[in-house]
Amino acid sequence: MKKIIMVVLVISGLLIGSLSVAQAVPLAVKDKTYEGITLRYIAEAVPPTDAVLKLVPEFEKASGIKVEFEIYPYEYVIEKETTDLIGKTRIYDVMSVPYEHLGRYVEMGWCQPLEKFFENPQLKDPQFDWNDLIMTSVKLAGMWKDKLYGFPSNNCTHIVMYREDLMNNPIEKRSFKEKYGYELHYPSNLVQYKDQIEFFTRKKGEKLAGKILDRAFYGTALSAKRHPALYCEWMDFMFAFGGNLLDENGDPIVNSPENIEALEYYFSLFKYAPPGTKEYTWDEVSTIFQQDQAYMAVQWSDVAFGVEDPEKSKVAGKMRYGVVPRLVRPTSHYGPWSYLMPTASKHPEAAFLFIQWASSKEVQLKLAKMGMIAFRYSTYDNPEIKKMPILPDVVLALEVAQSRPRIPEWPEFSSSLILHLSEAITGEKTAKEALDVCQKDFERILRK
Amino acid sequence: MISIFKGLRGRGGNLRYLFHVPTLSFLFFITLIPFLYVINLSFRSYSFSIPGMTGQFIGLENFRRLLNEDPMFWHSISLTLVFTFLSVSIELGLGMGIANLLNQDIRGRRIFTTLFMIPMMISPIVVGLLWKFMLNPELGILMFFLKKFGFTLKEGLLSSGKTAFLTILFVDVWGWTPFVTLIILAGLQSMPKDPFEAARIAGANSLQIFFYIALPLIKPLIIIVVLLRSIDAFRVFDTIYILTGGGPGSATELGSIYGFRINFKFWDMGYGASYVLFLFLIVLIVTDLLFFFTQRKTYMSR
Amino acid sequence: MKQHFRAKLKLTLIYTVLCLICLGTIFPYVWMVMSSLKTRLDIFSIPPAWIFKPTLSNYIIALFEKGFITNFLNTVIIACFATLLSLIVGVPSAYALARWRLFGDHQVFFYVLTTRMAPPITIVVPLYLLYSKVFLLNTHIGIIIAHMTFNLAYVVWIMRGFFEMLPKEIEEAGLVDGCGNIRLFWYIVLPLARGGLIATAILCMIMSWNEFLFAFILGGIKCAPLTVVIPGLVTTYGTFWGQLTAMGSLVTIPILVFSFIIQKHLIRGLTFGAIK
Repeated sequence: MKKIIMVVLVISGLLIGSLSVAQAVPLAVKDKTYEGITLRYIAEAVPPTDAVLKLVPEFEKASGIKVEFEIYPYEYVIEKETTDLIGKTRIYDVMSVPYEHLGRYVEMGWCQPLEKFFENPQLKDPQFDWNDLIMTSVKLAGMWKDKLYGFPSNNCTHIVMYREDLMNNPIEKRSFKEKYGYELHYPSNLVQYKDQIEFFTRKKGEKLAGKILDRAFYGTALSAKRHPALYCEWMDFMFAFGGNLLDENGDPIVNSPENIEALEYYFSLFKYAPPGTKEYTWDEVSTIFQQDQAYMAVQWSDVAFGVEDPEKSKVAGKMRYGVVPRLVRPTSHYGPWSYLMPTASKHPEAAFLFIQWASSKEVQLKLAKMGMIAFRYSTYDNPEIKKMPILPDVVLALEVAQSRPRIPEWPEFSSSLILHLSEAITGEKTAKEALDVCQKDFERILRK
Repeated sequence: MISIFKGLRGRGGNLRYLFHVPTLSFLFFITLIPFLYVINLSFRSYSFSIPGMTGQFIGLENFRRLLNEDPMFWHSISLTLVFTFLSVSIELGLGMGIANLLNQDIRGRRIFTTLFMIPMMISPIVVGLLWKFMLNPELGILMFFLKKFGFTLKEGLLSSGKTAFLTILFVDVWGWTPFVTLIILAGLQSMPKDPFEAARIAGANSLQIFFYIALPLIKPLIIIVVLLRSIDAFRVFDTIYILTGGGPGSATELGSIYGFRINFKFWDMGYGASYVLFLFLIVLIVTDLLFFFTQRKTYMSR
Repeated sequence: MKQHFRAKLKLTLIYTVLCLICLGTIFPYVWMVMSSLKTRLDIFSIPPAWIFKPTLSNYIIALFEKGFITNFLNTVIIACFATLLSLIVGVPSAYALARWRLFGDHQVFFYVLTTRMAPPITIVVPLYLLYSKVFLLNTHIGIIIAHMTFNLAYVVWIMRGFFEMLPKEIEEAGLVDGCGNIRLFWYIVLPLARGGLIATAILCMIMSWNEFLFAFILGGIKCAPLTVVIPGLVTTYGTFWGQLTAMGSLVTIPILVFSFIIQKHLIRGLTFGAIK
């Protein structure tokens, strides 16, 4: 018996070993055609970027290509990239770009399609599995007018994060049912979402899950600073209400009744959020969760990993994640970044190899284990991934994901949207007034 | 001696032109050319986000849009003017008060002035972050003190338009009152003693002495302070960019912030050029008005 | 006796007010330095931790693990060269303005001042577009040149004042001895104006050191000074307040030292030499 096990072990060991030896790599990698080249890659400072940074030595070893990372916070990346592209300084060979800028980058002639590289037998990875890709992700993040420009570099989407331990607490369950007349479970629509948020908002001195609170506890936290975080969050509710920014023809419908309703719904959540919530962006929302002070909120899937970090977070392991509950439709605001290759890239072939490597099955799996949202189905079949927080829940969100407009005019659009939403939040304008002004702005921008 | 000095001047010869060559050629390249470029650009449609706007000449279209269609334009300009007026007058008032206190017969004046200098030497970026740190609505030290002294705040100071504007005003006053103080103090200390003695003997109280004797004497200084502070208040960007980014709403969207947004968020460089041109024009007008309303010669005289 | 008492009361009052004001001006800075020496937990502890075990880990992590040491070097490089170049270019002009009447020198003078009046955003936009054409974006030289737009005005204005204060007799003596104008300028005038030169240089350093907008827009990561990277510690997945306060303290310390060195000339410098 023991012998048989030994034999099986040895054989399977050999098999795995031979598999990894036989694992085909692009010829250019095998031959180290591009040895000595240094690529420069610019990306946002988020955990998935750090994950790629940790893995990249493997690529460097295999191909002989060195990859230098430039990591900036969100708002700087676009500025730096545009600067490089306008100035033709050709610093970057690979760029990580938020998908809503894809249209702009392509239309301005700044980045090049990848198809021709995939046709090159020297560069092509023979094992690159096209059928395994989650195509909704790839389409939104990397394709413009039927051409492929890149793959998601950070495939994040909005999810609802909530305190599972509180939701399953028997005391809270009982009193919730008494108060609202139905069982406490994951909200199946936005009305229940608000009920729960209201229910879990507690003052200092009140009881939460049987314990007296030494400080206030909030039902939710909103990232309502005048910052991109604001429209990102509001758009979740907008989608859930069945609204959108542009209709099928690309005409603005910002002040549609659904959108106004969604904005008013969004306002109604403020009383259940911390006093500083109007100064929050994603970071502060996570912080308030980490400190065990909030129950349920919308967050980016990549940022949510901070809540699962036991070093920083008091609630690691107590969280669960879900899609934004429906009113008209369940939703998730999709917000990936993609690898794009500038037209002016000095080493397009090497850059392609890097993009291809990072999008391959094995690397996607490894990245997923470090907290990146993979865009390959096979990743989510992996038993280890199934046990991880966030990731199993996120596939559901990816399937219902909605995207913001990817038109070239987006920068001015979004800036106007942020400004007017923020004005509505401070009470300078009502929801309708704010969105009316936005609508006018959008019309003007598109008319040009 | 005068004749020799004349000789010196005479023998400056070509040198007196030559010595200007580096500065002028440099300024030509880094300020005049860009400036002409901006003027040129302001008549064009040039954008890095809208395809097809590659620098076509569109005449006065940008300016028309600026003046007629853009509510943010008037908002940001008037906000800048209000901000400048308030910050400069508060700083002047406080600065004069503190300078008078320092000008009393006290010991340790040097230590006080040294400590006063700190806020204005800190990089504006750090000032912004520092206040952001202290004003953190849940955990900031200032919020802690406010609560301790019995102010209950429903929300953070940067959460609503009015308080946010007052906060950036306060931060500016915190940073630049020392500047006003130091200059006025320098003026007060270099004043002749006699008129004060005379006034004191005549029985004037200290307020009277300040308003009727000291004030006229330090008037030229006040003009300079107001001028320099106005120019700087018009330029302010870093601190506000960090603290509020122009928000909430558009409550702190000063001219430089909006100019930044048009150019580096919208990437609408043609329209942005017409905006920054206007901003510059307004600075010139305001400073010129200050120049002419006060005595221009005190500043230009040698 | 009563009067004596009143005088004393008044003095105490003045001291109290001054001390309070001083507290207000220095407290934020002191608080920042204190926070930079705290651990992550202590920084936001409520009530605030006044006594704690100081640690340098924030500095070490930021400087070496995050690589801010290169940004620190960038700050030094940019500040030094911007200052040096401004002096080389501006000092002769300042001297000429101080010594020789020239047709239109008032206009020259005023033109130089205008460069400082313009809000930086008005200069940075065209510079950005022009730089993009001549490959100066993302270079140290680009930022240095941009910093000269305001530093040069400083040098010309302040140095003119210093040159005017020099006793003319010495120069005259030099001329009588047969020095040429350039030799005179180099061997006699400049050494005499040494104090002024140092003060001006330090002021330029401070301006350049603290500058954000030009470096932010015109520079890339390889030439980003500290002021540009410090706000980057506010990230989407957390604000590193410890490192942020540490770098904030670090970037300020040299400036404070500098300004104490030239305290005597500070006011003159800050008022463009309008106040001697």
